[in-house]
Order: sequence, then C-alpha cells, then structure tokens
Amino acid sequence: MQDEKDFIGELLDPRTQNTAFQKLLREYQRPLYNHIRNIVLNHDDADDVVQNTFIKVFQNLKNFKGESKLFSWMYRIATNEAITFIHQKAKKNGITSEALQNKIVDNLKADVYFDGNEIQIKLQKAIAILPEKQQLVFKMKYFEEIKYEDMSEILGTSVGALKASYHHAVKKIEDFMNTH
Amino acid sequence: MKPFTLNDNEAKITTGFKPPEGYFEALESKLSAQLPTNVPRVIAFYQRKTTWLYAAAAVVILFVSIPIYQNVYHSSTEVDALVLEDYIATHADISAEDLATVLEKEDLEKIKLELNLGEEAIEDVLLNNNDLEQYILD
Repeated sequence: MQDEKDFIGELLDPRTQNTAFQKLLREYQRPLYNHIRNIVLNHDDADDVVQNTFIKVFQNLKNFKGESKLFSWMYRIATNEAITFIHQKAKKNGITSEALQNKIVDNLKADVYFDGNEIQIKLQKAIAILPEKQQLVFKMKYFEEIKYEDMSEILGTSVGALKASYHHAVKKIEDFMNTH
Repeated sequence: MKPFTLNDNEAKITTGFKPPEGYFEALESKLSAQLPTNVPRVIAFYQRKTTWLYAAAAVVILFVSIPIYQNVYHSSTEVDALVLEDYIATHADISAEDLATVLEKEDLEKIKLELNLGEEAIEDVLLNNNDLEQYILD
C-alpha cells in the first residue's frame, strides 16, 4: 500500500474518502474476515462482526493518531469486536464462552461453510480448551502467520510473552491430539 | 503410530473455513451502502440562538425580580426614626412637657448633651427675642 500517511489523509478527506475506503476494503476484507472467522468460527457471525469492524474503522478514522500501523489498528478493532461478540452471544445463551465454542465446533460438520476433515475438527476442539489469550495467539501465529512484532502491537503484549503463550498452546494442543 | 506434532516439518493444518461464493464482492457493496455519507452537520438556527435567548431571559427575570424583592423583603413595619421625628415636630400636638413626662431622666440628659448650646447662641436668642424680657418681668 502507498505511503500510509498519505492514504490516511485520503481516507479523511471528504473528496477522496469513498474511493480510499473502497481500496481499504479490498485490501483488508479477506484477512480481516479470516481473522474474525477464526475467533467466532461461524460464517454468519463472522459476517456481522466484519461489517461492524469496518463501520467502526470508518467512524474512528479521525481519531487514528498513527501511533501504530493502520493494519495493527484495524486488527485490534476486529479482535475486540470478535471477542466481545463471543462473550455477548455466550451470555445471551446462558453459557460460558468455552461452552459456546465447543458447541460451535461440535456443529462444524454440518456447517456448509466449513470444508474440513476429522483432523481439522479435532484441532478446533483442542484449541477450544485453551485460555482465550492462548487461543488468540495460536490462531494468529499458526493459521494467519502474523509476525510476533505485529501481534505485539495488535494485542498489546510483549513479544516474549507471546512466544511463551504460543509455546504453551502448542504443547497443550499436541497433548490433546495425542490423547483424544 | 507417529505422535502428533505441530512443528514446522509437518504439513500445516488449515482451518477449513470458507466464505460463501461471491461473499467479498457482496460485502463491498453492502458496506458501501451502510457507511455514513459526508453530509455536513446542519445546526438549526434556533439551536444556535438558544444561548442568547437564555441570557436575555435571565436579564429580564433579574430586572423584574429586583423591585419585587425589594418590595417584599424591605417593606418593614418599623417606622423610620427620621420620619417619626419629623411627624412629631410638625404634626403632633405634643408639648415639651408631654415629652418630658414620657422620657426617662437618662434620655433627657442625652438630649441636653446633644443640644449643648454655646453661650453665644443663647445670647443671640435673648437679644433677638423681645418677648423674653416680658417673661422675665412676669
């Protein structure tokens, strides 16, 4: 993408805003969808959260101070939106977030927008038992291949702590996969 | 059987998640329609004027309430000392003897002190008043 400062300027200028936002959408809709889908697991929920995320990004562009990269800022918004969504949905159903995730994973086979095998379902089950932060770190590192430095900016956690989290997550997942 | 590992030498397991066909194309137009347009915010004229209206109303209330306040709270039933003195001096049919019977000894002493006429003043009164001589003879 062109120089980020210029691009943010285009996003804030009413004359160029719409064109710039279309460009931003085209660039980020796929990675942000994947990121959100990995957290909420279900396509319909991911669709809602993606839309909310882009609307929030658009509404808050004027407050973006450029202290972090536009990419990290957008991922931060998407992560918060997805986690809030999961918590609210669990609360609405009167169950814990972990129970909700297990329920969705159990229904993955019937999901028309899931094209995976038994190993993939088992891996999702193994991830679902991890603490929330470890789940996030594992998904962002293993599936999305986000660098630790970028992840640190998105999650506001040190690189060292992220590496430790990933290491613990991998160990727990391997144990689960070998014992179940 | 080989134990399961997630190390880099093993083939990566993907999520298996897929979006519906044409989803991203539809998302673009759906989002564009949802975004707020850049219409400048219109502030109604009367809204801008409100502050001034409040200020003007406050001034009017102040002007009206000051005389009312003064009438209500300052219309004391006590008669002003000056007014009373003036009334006694001009209208009332009260002689010096009447006053002397009402007043205490201390009050009379006070009046004497307050008057404290000098000798010159007494001399002037005696010189200008011819009737006094008659009174003395009587």
